[in-house]
Amino acid sequence: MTDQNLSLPDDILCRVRNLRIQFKTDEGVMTALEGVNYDIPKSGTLGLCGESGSGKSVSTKALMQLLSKNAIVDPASQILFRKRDGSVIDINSLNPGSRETRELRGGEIGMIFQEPMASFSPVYSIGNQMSEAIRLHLRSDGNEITTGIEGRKLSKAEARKVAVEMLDRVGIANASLRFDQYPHELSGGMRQRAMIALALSTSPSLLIADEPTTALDVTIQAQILDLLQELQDELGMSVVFITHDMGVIAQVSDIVAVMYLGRIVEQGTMEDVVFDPHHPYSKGLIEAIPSLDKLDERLKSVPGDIPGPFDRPAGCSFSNRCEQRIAGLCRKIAPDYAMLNDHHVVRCHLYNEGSGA
Amino acid sequence: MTDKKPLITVNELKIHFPIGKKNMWKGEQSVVKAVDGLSFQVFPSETLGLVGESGSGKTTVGRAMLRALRLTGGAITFHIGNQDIQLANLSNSELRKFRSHIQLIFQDPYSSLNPRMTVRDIIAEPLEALGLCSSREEVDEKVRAIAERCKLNLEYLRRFPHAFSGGQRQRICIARALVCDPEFVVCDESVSALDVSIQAEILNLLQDLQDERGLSYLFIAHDLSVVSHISDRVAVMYVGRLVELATRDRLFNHPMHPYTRALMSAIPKVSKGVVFKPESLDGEIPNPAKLPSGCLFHTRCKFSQSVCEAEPPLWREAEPGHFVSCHFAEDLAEKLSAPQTQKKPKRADRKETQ
Repeated sequence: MTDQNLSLPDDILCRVRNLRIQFKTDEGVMTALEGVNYDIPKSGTLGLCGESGSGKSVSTKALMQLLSKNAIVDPASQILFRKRDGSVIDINSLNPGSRETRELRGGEIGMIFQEPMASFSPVYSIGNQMSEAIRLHLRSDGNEITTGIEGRKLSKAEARKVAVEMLDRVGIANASLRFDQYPHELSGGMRQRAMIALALSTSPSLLIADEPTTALDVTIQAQILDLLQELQDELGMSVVFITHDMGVIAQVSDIVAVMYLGRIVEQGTMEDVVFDPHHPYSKGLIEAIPSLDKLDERLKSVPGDIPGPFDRPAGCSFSNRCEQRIAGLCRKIAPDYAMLNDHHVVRCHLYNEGSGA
Repeated sequence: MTDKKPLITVNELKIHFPIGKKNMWKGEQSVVKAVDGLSFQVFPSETLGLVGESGSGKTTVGRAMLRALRLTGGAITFHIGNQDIQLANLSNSELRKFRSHIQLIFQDPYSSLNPRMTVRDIIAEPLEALGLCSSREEVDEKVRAIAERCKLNLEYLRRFPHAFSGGQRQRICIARALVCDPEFVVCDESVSALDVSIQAEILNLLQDLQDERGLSYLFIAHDLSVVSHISDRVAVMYVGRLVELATRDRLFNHPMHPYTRALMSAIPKVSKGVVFKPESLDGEIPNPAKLPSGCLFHTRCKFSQSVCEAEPPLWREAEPGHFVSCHFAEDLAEKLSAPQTQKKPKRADRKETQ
């Protein structure tokens, strides 16, 4: 299946081009993503932010081939991914059930989810679930434990050793005791640490973190964010960080993409997007955050509600809530990307040359 | 604020939940002290913010103030008109009458609306249940008035909740809480399930309604920045006790308790050029069934000394209107000014934490 002609620049681990995903539902076909493009930098962090229904999670589930059965992915979409051996593959052309996909999923691409209680099975011990992944993805060549498919399968004792080391690494005290415990015996923060240990035990080159701290308290959130950054520095993996919290985005990301209703409306370096947002939606999103510095000001809000998936406005999808709408243009024609600088792109008529801005 | 007459006085509020089976021979029933000795006041037209981590007992306090729970000890007194009403002493029928003064807005607008009732019926339910209106027309009129005020389209009243987005559902919840004209509303994490752009609108609506109607809110949230935005005074809870209570500005500019300080520094901030570095708070909130000795926070406190382990600190007024329970509040407040933000360190030299 691997196409030899695919290539990626050296500093890019994964490149998503023109990703279009639709879902067949009882009420008709719903478009979740309409042509999303992004690059995940090598050893860097891409922050995906947006409100519920914007398609943040769907876009990363496509990377893992974890979409539900009623999803239709446009065959013209490309998800290029550089494997450990250097070859570049198009994940979108793989069969979701194939051996190659199964090796990627959980092996080269790890994932942590929002709700640590729901993502562990309650009937197996933490260790059992970690060992499963470790024995599936790691191999031993006699002395050393490696990733890949060479060598023999690990024994349970070896898997236990790897798992306990990893649990210890993510800051879980009494790791060998915790290994035999069940998810309900751990607190929320502990469970999220165990989830991180599970995802990283196979040393993935890409970690997808889907709202990993949303269900946690701020103090625990700070601990987990610290831990993730530390592990990233140490292991050199790339991270896709999905969150709706702009404060978290500002802390963890190198590159930020703001999504709205299945499209990326603004993308650029963290400094560009968070401190100098251009799209009216990103501006609104950042101004709507209550902050300790502007206590007495009235909060600015983005008027209106997020439209449902079946009543998206024509033209620019933000046009029904936008205060800077250009009459006769925004509601009819969807804007194209406008480049503000080499990395900073925004999808808005206000910045498109010759569109009357 | 101090010369005003309070609307509610809470005195030494205690709520304990029994856990496990009572041992026939050992006698003592083991209990979880979810709330243990809380005293504070709520003033008219004031928002009192209540913050703390999960498991600190915030929701239990809110529920106790609506008497959705029986008090184990202490008293909650409402001063309405010239009457002092002891919430704990009300009989069931008196309580029913009293309910129109106290209302609640829940966290999750998806699970707190009955999917089989129309929006009109949901909003009208308190009026009908409490028998506040004599005719159907009067009910309709009140429902329409409050729905309009909460910026709900009147055509929507005939629809069912499933047709609405999170923000609109929360408006329905607000309309339902305010339709019987309460004096006191408990907002339990009322905006935490909403998206940021919607959250701002709901916060603004809550503030407008407060200005118009002179409502008092007990605003419970774990998000300090949201609480700080809406509150006049803020109380910080830790494992069933208050650790600090002060006016918002005083609390944020001059926090005296190390827990408040840690909580504040843990909020991710968006401001140009500075990226926050949290004062890391190790460990987690203790198990309320096995509380630490002395000051409950000493297991996580950087400044803990031997006295903290031995003696629980008193709840005292360290400066006018600023309550704190810490042995070294004054020393610490002096030693450390408000939390510092630092320049973002380069990846390589980011501090290694244990």
